[in-house]
Amino acid sequence: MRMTIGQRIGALVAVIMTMVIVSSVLSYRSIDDVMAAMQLRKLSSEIELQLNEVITDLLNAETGQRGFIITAEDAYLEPYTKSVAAIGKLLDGLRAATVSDAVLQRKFVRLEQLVQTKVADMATSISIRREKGFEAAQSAILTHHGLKSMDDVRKALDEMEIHQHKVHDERIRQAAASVDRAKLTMLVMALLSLLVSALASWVVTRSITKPLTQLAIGTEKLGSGDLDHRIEGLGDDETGNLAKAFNAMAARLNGMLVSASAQAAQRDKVLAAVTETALQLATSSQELLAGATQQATGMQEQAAAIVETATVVDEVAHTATQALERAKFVATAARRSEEVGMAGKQAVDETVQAILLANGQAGSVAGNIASLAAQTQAIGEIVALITDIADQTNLLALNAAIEASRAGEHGRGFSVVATEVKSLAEESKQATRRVRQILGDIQKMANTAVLSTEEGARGMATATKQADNAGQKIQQLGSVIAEVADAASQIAASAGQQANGLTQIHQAIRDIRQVSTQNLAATHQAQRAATDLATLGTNLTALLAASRVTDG
Amino acid sequence: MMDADRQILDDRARQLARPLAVALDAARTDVLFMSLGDERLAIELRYVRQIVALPEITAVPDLPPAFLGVVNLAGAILPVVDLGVLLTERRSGIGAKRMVIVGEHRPELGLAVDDVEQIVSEDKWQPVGDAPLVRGVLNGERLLIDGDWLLRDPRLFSKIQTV
Repeated sequence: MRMTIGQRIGALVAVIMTMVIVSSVLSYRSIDDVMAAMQLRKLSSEIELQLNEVITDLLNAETGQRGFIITAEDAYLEPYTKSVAAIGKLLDGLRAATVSDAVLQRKFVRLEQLVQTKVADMATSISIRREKGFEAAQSAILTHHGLKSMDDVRKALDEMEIHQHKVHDERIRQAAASVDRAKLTMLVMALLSLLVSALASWVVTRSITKPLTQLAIGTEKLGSGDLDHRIEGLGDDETGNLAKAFNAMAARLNGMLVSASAQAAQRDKVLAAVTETALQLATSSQELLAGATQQATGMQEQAAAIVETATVVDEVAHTATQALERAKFVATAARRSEEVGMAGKQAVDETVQAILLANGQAGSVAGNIASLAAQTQAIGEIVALITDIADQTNLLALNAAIEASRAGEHGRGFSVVATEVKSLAEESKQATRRVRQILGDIQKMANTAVLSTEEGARGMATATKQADNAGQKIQQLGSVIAEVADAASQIAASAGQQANGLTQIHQAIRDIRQVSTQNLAATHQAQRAATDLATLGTNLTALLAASRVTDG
Repeated sequence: MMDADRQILDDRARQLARPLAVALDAARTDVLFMSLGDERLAIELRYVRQIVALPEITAVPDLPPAFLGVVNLAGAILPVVDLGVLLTERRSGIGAKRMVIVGEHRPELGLAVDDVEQIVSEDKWQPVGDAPLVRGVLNGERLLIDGDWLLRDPRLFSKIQTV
């Protein structure tokens, strides 16, 4: 909740006032209590006083009574009469004073009865003296009735007095307590008021000074040229309104400044464009000048090149004459080479023929060897058969030996034959074993021969191919040489034409040289014009720069 | 009669039936040298009937382990024995190429052997211990087969008798 400054100050005052009122009321009530206690104390003192008066009056009355009884003179009776009247009044006053205390009232009622009894006793003794004389009165008094009643009164009075003392002390204590309470209340209230007032004052002061400080800072910033500064968040109170007014002022100032600077910028832009153009003009002129200079240099170089070209053309013409002679020589040599190539090709062809023949012969040798190997195999089979037969013969010989043994002495000769047969069989077996070994060797060699023949055939095929290749190469070489010979003839012809052409080129170059000299003169003129233009551009730029400096 | 008693009697009979080693030394004897695996063997020629190339053997079930089977020899059935089983109780292998036909008066058994080497007259036989099938040893390596024992060896008969 935001309040205006006035409202805030009002609220502060209201708070302080409330505190003052509350403490006043509390102090007042404390003082009231003290007053009441004082009143009660005063009342107690009065009752005590009256009680003392009662006993005094009773004693006075007794004194009067005694005087009258002794003397029977009415003058002595006067204190008695006065005292009795005073006692009646005192008793009335005491009744009223003891109404507030029930115990005291009860004691008072008893005291009243006792006092009235005593007064009645005294009245009785006085009337006895007056009517029956001194003796009767003396005997009545000697009953000691009067003395006893007086003691009772004293006792009742003492009781009342003791009670009254107690009440009195109580009252005094209450009064003292009230005073203490009042003191404490006032002290506490004073401290509380001080605290609350201080706090409220601090809050209000702070709420007022803070926005004011902000405003001061904003104003300072505005003064130092910061036109974009705004003060925000101060609400709707007086300082808020002040901040709004400040913001509006800053906005207005800023707007004015912005329009002024826009105009300045516009002018600067135009001036810059003009300067830019002048600069461009200067640059272009300079470039133009540079171009013209370069062109002039180029022209000079061209003239030099033309002279050089003329020299080179002369040299070329000389070289062409030499080339013509050499080409003729080459053509002759080429023709001779062609003839040699043809002879070489023929020799190669013959070689190929010889190789092919040798190849055919090697092939037939290989065939023969192969059939030899096949026949060796057939021989092997026959040998196996022989081995088998030898085996069987061996068995037969053994069996024959067995039979011979069985025949005993008769078979002895047969046994020898059988042994011979057996050894023959063994020998033939040995022989076949040897044949088989030789056959194996032959077969192995035949295989090797076939293999090497095949290898030879392959080598011959390669040789044939290479010889063919060589023949082709020689043929190609021959045709190339023929082409070279043709080309050489053509070169010779062209060299003649070239010499003619070169003479014409020489003439043309002389013409070009003349034109080139004229061009150079024209370029020099253009160079001078470009120099003037460049000077103009530089002057203009300098002028504009000066104007800008004075303007700025 | 107890089996143990019979065994003792059989052994005694075998000892009595055995020809004396002295008889071997008395006369020169024609013997046939054979080879079977690593073994070098010999047999007296009087037990040999014939030597042939080993024919195709037909296996027969339930024969004693020493038999390889039977062969058909010119129409007659002949059992074939592996001497390796009788000598060492192990089969000899598959290198046999020859068959030696043995018997006293007629072909009785075929012995499968690797090869038949030669017929010799030899008398330098050394006697051996109580190996029943072997009669003697030559040069410490060649065993002389006891032909009599071979033709009556119980290992070739017991099985057939029980069947």
